[in-house]
Amino acid sequence: VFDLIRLGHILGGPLRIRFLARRRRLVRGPIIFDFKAGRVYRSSKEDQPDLVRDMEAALKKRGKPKVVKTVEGVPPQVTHQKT
Amino acid sequence: VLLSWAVPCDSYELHEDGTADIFGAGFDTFRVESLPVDLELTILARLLLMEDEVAGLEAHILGPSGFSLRSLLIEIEADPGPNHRQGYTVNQTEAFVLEFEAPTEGVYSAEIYTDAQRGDPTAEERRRSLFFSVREGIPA
Repeated sequence: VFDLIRLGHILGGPLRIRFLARRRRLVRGPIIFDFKAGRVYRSSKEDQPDLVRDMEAALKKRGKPKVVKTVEGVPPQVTHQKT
Repeated sequence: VLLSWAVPCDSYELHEDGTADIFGAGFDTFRVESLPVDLELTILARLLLMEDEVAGLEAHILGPSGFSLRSLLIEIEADPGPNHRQGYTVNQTEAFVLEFEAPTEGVYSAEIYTDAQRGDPTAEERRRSLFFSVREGIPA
């Protein structure tokens, strides 16, 4: 059980949560969200307090990336010179 | 071996039929928290080999000062896919990762060379430069 509203706000929605969980291999099966109850389940049955803890840790890590890839361009004098 | 294309990307999936899914392609800048920093550049390259050809591919990361920060020599063997047509070139997608330490901000490049003996040595099918920047500071 965890605060879906808070986590959802950080991540931008359940799809993102599911993506993150899968990517970090925290879960294998489907993740079920119950927004009314503010709960998340794995395999539609079992509560996953460990999952919540791990995901929150993953989020904390994700919140402070050390490297971000962007599209900013490079100086034309470099790319356009013939070597 | 000739080089058809080379693209830096986040990740990829190579399929048995010779196609590939490429994710996170198109970036040209690493924004980093602080310098120096260890970086990884994943490059997916499309190679055109002759049947039974064993060829070499060289890759170098050049820093802003022009010095090589990392070099890689890759031996590639033609590995025709299930739909390969006899007598045609073997069009093969290969991936490699260049790990290097970026000491300063500036423009870097990944230089890729094939050991092809035919054609113009400066032609894009024999060598390729992929430019990228390293900048300090994570964007908001």
